[in-house]
Amino acid sequence: MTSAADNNTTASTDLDQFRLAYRAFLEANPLPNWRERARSSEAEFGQVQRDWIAILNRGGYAAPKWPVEHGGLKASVAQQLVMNEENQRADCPSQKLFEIALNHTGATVLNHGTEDQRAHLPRILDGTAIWCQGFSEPNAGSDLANLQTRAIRDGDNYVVTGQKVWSSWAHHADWCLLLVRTDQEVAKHKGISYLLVDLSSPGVTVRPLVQLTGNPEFCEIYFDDVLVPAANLVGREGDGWRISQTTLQTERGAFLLDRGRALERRFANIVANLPDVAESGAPLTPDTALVNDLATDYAEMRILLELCQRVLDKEKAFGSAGWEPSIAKLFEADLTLRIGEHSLASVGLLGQTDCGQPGATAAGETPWVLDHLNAFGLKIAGGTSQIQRNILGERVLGLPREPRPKERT
Amino acid sequence: MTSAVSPDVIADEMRDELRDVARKLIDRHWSAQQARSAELDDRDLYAAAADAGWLGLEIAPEYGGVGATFRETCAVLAEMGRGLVSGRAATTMVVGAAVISAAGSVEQREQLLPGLADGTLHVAVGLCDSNGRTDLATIGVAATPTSDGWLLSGTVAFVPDAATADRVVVVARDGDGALSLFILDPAAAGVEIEPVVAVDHTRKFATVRLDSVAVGAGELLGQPGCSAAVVEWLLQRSAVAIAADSTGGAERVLQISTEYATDRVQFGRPIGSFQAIKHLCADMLVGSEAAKAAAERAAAEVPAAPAELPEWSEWASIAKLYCADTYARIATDGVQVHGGIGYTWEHDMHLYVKRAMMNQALAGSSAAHRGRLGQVLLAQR
Repeated sequence: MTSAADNNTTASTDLDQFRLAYRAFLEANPLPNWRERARSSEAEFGQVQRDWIAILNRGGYAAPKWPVEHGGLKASVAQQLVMNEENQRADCPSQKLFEIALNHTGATVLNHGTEDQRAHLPRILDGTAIWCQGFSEPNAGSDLANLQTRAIRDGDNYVVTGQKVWSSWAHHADWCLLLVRTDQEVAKHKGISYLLVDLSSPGVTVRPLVQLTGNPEFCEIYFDDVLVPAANLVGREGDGWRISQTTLQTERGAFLLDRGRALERRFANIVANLPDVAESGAPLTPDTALVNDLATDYAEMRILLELCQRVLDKEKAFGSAGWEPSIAKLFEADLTLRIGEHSLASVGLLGQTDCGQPGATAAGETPWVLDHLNAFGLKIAGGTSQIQRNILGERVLGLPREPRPKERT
Repeated sequence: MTSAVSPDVIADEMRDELRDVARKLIDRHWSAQQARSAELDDRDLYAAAADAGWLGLEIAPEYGGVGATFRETCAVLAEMGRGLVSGRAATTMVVGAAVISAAGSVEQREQLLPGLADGTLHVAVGLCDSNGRTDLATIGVAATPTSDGWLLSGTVAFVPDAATADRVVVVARDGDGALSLFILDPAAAGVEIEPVVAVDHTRKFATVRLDSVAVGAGELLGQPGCSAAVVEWLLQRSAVAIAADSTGGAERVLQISTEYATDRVQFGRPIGSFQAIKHLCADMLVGSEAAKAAAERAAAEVPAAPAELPEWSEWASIAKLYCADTYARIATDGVQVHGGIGYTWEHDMHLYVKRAMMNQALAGSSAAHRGRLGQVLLAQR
């Protein structure tokens, strides 16, 4: 839906110019053979990612959301969507390994960091620092506040001991956003602090976990008496939970819409490759069960994009969209899983082949069965679908919380 | 006239306000108790709807209307769905006034629209074929030309509120398959109108049977044989209207169920604290919000007037399909949240379940709209 602004024409001309400028930049600055390089080895995949952000940085395009004074573009949501479209069009590498750095590290140090901590930002832009997140632990998944990794103050340092898990791409990372327990005596949310940790420090061990798709993405990180300078504490001691929970409350719309559009492309690819005959041997008609399923999926996919657009519109009008991103996320996860099932049903045995590509491929290029398996994560990462339903039930509908066992005080 | 709407009701907030006013008005003039009575006496509500300007919401001001858009109509319809309101006012708002405005001559508009707007005239419109389907290829009673007009014969199934209507509009099909619209006097020779008792007793339907009904230029709406685009447009309006009705009903079921889950205590705690119930309610919320997004988008997509040629609206099909199916799912889950009490005649839940199931079948069934979307997908191979 377009808002009937008087200067709509000017705005769209500006956007067109922005698009043409970015397109010209991408055409003039290709990264030759990036896909072949990325597929050749895990290390080379990392190097491609570093090379690409450095190239983007030469044009000022590396960090679209960051303020200009920190090397960003301060791009509008519309401009960010244009960039995504142009990235698709140019078939350039993703920024997968820099997602945490560009989103979480950027937002955290810009909102809560010291001047010294903000000095990390240029090293992200030139590709020298990849960041990962050290939040979840073996016993702190959905119940994240139960985390037990300890940081004990010792002079100018913290001494960190513990284990983190599900840290995406940590085996490529140079730095880590780490949640630690600095106080055992207070309620569990209040004893958590936020540290920036150099992963090359003595006592850090990173071990990749191969996920069910066969690709390494998640990692375990072990901290064994690791010394972290106290200057790397973000905010105050004990304020880590609040910082981690409020940093990314805004700007969910563009992220969701982006994923919605990726699903739209994937769906178009499924439809374009529909066979002439169903698995039963009968020709496909609008009444074939598979076509029926896909028609329902199509309707819901359009509705998903509408929901994402509404989150965006609301963020634009009010700054934050409240609980509506949770609705879009639940809707997206269920729909994506269903589309995956139907995609496999549409190609039968042929959908089961594994091309064995490492994780560097563009969307739509992996075998469909791996696309589908990948999507399982949508219902787990960033708050499982069950946790999302608790949030909606309790915070939106006002249903009573479950009685809990007595918490440590 | 305190609740009358102004012509420039466009902004979303204004529509929210319109919904608030509509909710209060419906609460005053209609109750679930009335919705479960056999008579469905809606005279009080109908008069209130006329007073509030709803009946003439989209009728041009020169004919006594408000001159608003279909989006405002859908805002009121959502509240009618929420309140289980019987359909006479909705019939006028969705198709009765629209068909006269879009297809009537200047003379017919002058003659009929003021009465539609002030509630003194009620026009029913039959858009199904004899089997209750809404396919442009099968809709229409047979029109046989005579020296000074046509003879109409055939059956139109499930015409909303036809038994009490002052006029009934039917679609007719000539030997070449071209569609015309006629407006009939129910008392005319050869017209038989028989009430249908549906399981959804919040609404009234009738079967209209025509046996060699003689019609001429006076009964014709629009040019003979040229009404396919108007009919398609009316079908779209009907489909999106049912989508809007569904969103209001779903919202209400979610509210009732949440309240019940909060109040009802078993095993020493409110049942809403159990995740099995809480998650059912959360899924109802997701469905309800998605349905709202779909219905509101579809209402904005329906054109203000019919196109030259019939033009299918993808959003009308998407919204009709999703909103009605989701309403049915939410109402079914609502019964489950209520347990035994939700299974009784005494409780209102069954009224929502039945209305939801009727919504799935009305204005093109879910299967029909799904088939339509499927056709489009297959063409993209």
